Amino acid sequence: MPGKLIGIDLGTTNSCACVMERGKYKVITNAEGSRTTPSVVSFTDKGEALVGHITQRQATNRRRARWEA
Amino acid sequence: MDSTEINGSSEPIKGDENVIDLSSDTSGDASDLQTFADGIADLIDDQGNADSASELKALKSRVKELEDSLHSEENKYARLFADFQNLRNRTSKEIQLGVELAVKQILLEVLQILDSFNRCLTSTYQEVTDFRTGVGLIQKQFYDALRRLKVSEIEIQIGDTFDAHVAEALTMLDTTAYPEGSIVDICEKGFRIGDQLLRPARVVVARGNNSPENLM
Repeated sequence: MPGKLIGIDLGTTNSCACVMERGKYKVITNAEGSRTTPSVVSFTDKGEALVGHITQRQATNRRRARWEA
Repeated sequence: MDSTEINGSSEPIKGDENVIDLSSDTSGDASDLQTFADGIADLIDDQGNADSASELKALKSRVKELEDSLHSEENKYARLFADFQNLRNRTSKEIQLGVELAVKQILLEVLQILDSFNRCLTSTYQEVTDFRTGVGLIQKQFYDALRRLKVSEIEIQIGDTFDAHVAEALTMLDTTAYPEGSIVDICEKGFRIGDQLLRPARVVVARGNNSPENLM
């Protein structure tokens, strides 16, 4: 099969992505260097979507944080 | 197509050992193709068609040339693949070694601070303020160690607007003393290592009195 093969585990709490390179798997880290990403998203007043840890950090702000999986 | 179609008669041609059984699939067998070409060339030679024979000879030569090129490329690929595997294994070991060295560097800094705490606890003090001063010096030593490890404190203050990029909201507080969405209290300081976030600050965020607690 040509091209890259990527697997995504979209879990209810955390998500993880992995790519196969030469028969070996490699977990892809997110922008903060973490191998898993919380399965949450929030939207700013400007409509910008924030995903993962940054949304988790403002989870108490229920006006903006939306828990989704 | 069989030998009878080649020579137009039902008798087998001279040199039976050169006849190829075309009922078998020889499409992927270059050596059989060469043998077949040899047979055709010899046959045409026998029939006096010199030009076609030379053309077939040229094709045979081209097949040989392509085979040699293919073998060369296969060898090159095998060597490159082996080099790549070696490089990957070597890189993996170097990364592991780098991690171990970094951990050692951090632990050496921490051990110095541990020594200071040991001296602090084994000393006697006449005043509590003397003890406090000593602990303050250890704190300064810790901050100096963090600076050497390229760790810096995130500069936020009470009253700043909450920013989820550098802070984590522990809870929200109903208050009119600060604007909605601003920091009311800093429970734990945040730190960066280089340009990256190491640990976000943990803060309390102001929630305006008129804001609904939960719109969901």
